[in-house]
Amino acid sequence: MGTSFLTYRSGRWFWISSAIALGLVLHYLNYQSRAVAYGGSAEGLLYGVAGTGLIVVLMYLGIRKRSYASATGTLQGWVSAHVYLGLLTLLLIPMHAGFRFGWDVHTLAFVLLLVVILSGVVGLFFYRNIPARLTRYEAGQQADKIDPEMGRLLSDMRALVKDKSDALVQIYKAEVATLQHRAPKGWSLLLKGQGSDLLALRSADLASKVSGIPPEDQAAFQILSQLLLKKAQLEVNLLHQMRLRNALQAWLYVHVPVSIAMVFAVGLHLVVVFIY
Amino acid sequence: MVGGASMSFQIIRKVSSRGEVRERILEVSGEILRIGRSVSSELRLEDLSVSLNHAEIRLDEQGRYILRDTSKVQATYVNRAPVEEAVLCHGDVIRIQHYLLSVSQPDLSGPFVLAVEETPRTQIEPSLALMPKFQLSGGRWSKGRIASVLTLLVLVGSILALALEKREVFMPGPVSVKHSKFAHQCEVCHASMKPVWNFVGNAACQTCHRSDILSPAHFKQEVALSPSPLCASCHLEHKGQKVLADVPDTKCVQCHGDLKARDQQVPDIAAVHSFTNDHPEFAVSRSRPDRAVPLRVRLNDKAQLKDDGRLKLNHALHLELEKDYLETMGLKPLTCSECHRIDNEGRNMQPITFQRDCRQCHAADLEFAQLLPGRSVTHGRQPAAVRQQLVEIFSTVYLQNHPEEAKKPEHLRWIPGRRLPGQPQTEQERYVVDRQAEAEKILFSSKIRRCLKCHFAESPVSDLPPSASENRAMSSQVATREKEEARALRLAASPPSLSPNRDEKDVGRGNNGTNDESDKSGKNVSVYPIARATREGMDVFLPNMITLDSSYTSTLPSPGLFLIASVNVPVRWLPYSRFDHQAHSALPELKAKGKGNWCVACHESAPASRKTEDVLLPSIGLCRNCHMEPGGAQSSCRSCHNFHVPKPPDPLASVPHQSDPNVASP
Repeated sequence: MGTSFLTYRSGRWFWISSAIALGLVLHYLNYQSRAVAYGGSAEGLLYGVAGTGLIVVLMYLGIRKRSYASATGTLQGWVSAHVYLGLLTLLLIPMHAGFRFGWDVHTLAFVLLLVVILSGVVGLFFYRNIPARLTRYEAGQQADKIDPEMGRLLSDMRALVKDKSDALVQIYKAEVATLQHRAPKGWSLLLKGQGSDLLALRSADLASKVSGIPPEDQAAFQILSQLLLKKAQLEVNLLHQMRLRNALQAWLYVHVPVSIAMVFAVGLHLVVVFIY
Repeated sequence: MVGGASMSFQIIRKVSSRGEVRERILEVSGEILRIGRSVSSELRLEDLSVSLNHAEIRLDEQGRYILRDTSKVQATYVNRAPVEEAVLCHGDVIRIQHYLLSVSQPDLSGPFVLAVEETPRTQIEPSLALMPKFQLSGGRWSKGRIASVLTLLVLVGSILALALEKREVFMPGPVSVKHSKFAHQCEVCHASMKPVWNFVGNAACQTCHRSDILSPAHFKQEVALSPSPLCASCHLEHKGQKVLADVPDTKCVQCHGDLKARDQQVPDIAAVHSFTNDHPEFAVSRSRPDRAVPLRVRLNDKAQLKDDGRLKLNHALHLELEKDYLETMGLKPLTCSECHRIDNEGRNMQPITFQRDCRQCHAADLEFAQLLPGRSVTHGRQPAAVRQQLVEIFSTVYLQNHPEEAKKPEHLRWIPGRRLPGQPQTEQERYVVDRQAEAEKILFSSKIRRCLKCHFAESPVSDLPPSASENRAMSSQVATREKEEARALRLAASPPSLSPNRDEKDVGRGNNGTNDESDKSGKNVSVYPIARATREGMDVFLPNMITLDSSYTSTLPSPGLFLIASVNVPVRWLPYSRFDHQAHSALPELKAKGKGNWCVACHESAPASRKTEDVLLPSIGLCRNCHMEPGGAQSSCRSCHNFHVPKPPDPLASVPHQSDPNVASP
């Protein structure tokens, strides 16, 4: 069984970050007891420099994960460090600011950092919980093989109805048309239901059509119904899987863009504080 | 075994090897053929989409081959129809995923033949594929575009803030209330660009603030830090403080936590981190004869702690006075507030004055009723001046009792103090001198104890080293001594009667009984020029402390008597501190002590104090009962200590400021 990036090398980065956090807390308590904490003090500047350095390291993951030939540690190690050092900024930056915030560009930079970290925590939660659920659905059929399987089912349906009455052909054509006009729903999948009622709807739909089928085609209709329901099962499975897969991707639409905006805001913060 | 039929399966698999397709035949014996991805399956289909145990074919009792789907979640198709269980016939085609299994049984007694064929993977028409439609796609809103928009928003927002003069969005924190009026004008304080670690210079502060308050008072005292810290290093702007004067304790502790670490030249001052924990005991100042800098004595230093005041004050006696005795004087039992009154600001106690605080009870001590009822001398004068006043009083009385003197011709009329050299003492003069001597016996006697009930007498000249109080008096009044000497010389050189204006004035005061010269002049010591008097043959007292009854005679030839020692009652024991007596008196637990006696709750030792030297200040421990962290009354440095004091108070001050007519010496 593989090791999670959270427990990479017996949680090396967890322990490193925890030790740093403990040291920071002790240092800050001492600092605050003997001086007013703010960003421009010697200690505040130290925290600021360390925080900026951490942000640079955290942002480097975006480059490192694309550098397959890189020899600077394993990618799993980098992700592990990314997670734990990222959480460390949640402590370091408020210490830099002396835990004072306002409606200004400095706090904006921290708020953006907060959004990045929170989205990262959400992503971490997804990565911890979704793969196990995804595996359960993949036991039914892997997502990338569902479309070919449905293709075979459609092929079987077409072969079944080609010499049958128009009623059966219409059912097949309607199924194909439904597929063709299905609108993209990647984002809405995350918010809406998982299509659990699709099978019931399809069963009810087929039951309503059975009376319109000529008696000589009733046997073929039964087979066609089974094929349609099988296809519906596959579709429901795909919906479940894609919802989970999309969740694994969605948090990055917050994490990555906001982190870039955060870096810009940090740059703005540096310019402003160094001007005055 | 059923009906003698063969119980074996024959599997024909088409294997592609080096471009050639060959058939491989596998014989399987037994009644059941398991199909799946498992290695235990007789017909193994390696594709991952196939279940481990996908299906099985079993020969039933009627000799039929029954296909049963065991995959549960996937499907097995027979002749394109999904089945869970089906009877297989010759020519049927089983489909499991993309595997096609053609059934044939050429001979009923022969093996059940399955021809396995792997069909090419079906590619669904793109328009029908669902997976791409369910995939997450930002469409126009890719991550890069979202990042660009967010960054642009931050940039545009910043530019807009600049354009709209909303500069507070760039500040590292809001400015204080007083500075908020020009919060948008950064250049008012930030005249030039500075690195983030540098504070704004003092010049920016001094543009508006008086420069004389900018030099911290206590840096001028015993501690001389160099260089003095910048204004902005303590008054932290943009750091969330609404009032910059509210300097947090941490700024004080930055230095006072370890002063030696800041500057080796500072004297040994106890490290302070908080009032609650390690603030040293309060200290009062005592003068040191050999040093210019006063001695700081902590309240817990019982050996050194001593009130250098020279007033015989017995707190216990005052508070224990008999009720009957007080009723005879028309007074209620004394409380603290009968004598100790809070000043107009409600903070400190006013200096004790005889006229206001003592006279009500001690008026008789200025009288000599046995000789002349209803007359008294002026309080605050030295004995020489009292003698002069007595001469004036008795001369006036003589003239009032002998109106015929006024009718005599001018050359025969007796004028007090005027006697030509060589002429004998007149009857009138004897009358005055005798009564003056009698009155002095009453007033100056250490047995009758009028003046000396409260005051100490001392010699104008002493062979002993000056006492602490003398030193205090000398050091605090060195500037006025020469003037006093000159004045005394003039008095000694000229007869009293030759100063008619002064006579009338002093006599008038003595007669109406409300005169208190020390209260008016603000001086409680006048030093007679003893050396000059000795040169001129005057008879003077030389003992340091005088027992008047043994040395005093009515024949003293000159006004060169003993001196009333300076009382030296400190105006304030802790002149650098801020204390609000009024606020403390409003506390319910102190009010419970009863009107006037709430002082005793803190000044616990006052009711039992019988000595002048007792210092009755409460210790820091008593303050800490309420002023503590956390949760107690405020205990910040600034709640007691002043920092910017343009004119530092004199820790040894015992004389009120002369320019204040409302404040007089005790």
